[in-house]
Amino acid sequence: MADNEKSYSGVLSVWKFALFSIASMGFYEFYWNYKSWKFFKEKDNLDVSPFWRTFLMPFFMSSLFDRFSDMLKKEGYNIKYPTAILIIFWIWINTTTIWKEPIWLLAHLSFLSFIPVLNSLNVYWKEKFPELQEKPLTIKEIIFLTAGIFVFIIALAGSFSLN
Amino acid sequence: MPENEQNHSRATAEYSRVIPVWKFALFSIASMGLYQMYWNYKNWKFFKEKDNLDVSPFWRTFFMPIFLSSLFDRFSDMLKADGHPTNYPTPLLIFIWVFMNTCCPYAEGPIFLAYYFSFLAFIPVLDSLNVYWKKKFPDLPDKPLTAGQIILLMAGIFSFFIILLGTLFPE
Repeated sequence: MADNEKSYSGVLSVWKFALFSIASMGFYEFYWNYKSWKFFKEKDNLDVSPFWRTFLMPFFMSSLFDRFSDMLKKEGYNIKYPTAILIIFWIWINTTTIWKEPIWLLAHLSFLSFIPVLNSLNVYWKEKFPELQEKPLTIKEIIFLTAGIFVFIIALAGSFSLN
Repeated sequence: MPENEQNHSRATAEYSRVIPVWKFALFSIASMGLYQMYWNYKNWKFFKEKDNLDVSPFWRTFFMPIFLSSLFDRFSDMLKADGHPTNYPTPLLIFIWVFMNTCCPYAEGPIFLAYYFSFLAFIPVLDSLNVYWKKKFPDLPDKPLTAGQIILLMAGIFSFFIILLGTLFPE
């Protein structure tokens, strides 16, 4: 993601983000958040703790989304994602849906909140480093994804067969 | 800071932007915390004009708990860019503020009163800003209280004392 990680592009495909998010039951969103704060900490020499900002993610997502927005704007990209709606949706889907069967499965769709931000970032990274390739999946990642998606399908089938 | 931003800060500041902590605390207590929302709104409006942001100060105040971090970070960035590095612990301040505003109102007995002290989370930010504004515009006087504000303060503080007595001596 950072400028100094030039071997691969900072682009993160939406399908990859979605699959990782579903397979990890949303934990990938926390990982992405942590990595993004680490990126800004190094890039802008910020005195922040990526760990605590990830631990308190619902309260710090706005700041992260605003930072991306400011970064893109500074580079001449006129982006307009509705930060408030994205965060409210993310909090809502992660808190209200988990209590009911089978609606709790909707919580797996929380990655949707990140799509407008990811799309804006992907356009930016593609234009900034067009020669760089997207990072391919490692063997471990493929195994993790396969296992996670398998568990998800089992849970999905179980929820509906119960009814 | 670019000249246009400096002009903006000054043009809108017939009075200094300094808000003494005691004033913020009293207004906050007297308004049962609503003043913090007003302060939040005014500051998002300030950044919207200064940095030409495409944000809604109203919605950012309506959803204050999730946007407070962004506001505190913006202040931190602004001060840093002007050579005033700050290191207030934003996660801790926000945690304290959210805790005081969500848990304390439901507590029984005197702990309930801690809700009135949620302004404490703003003090490190206010202090940093006050040092900044004092150095930036040392010639500008503090904004005096208006008659309306004094009446509001007196009524609010009176209500607070009634609640305080009622909580400490329920019989």
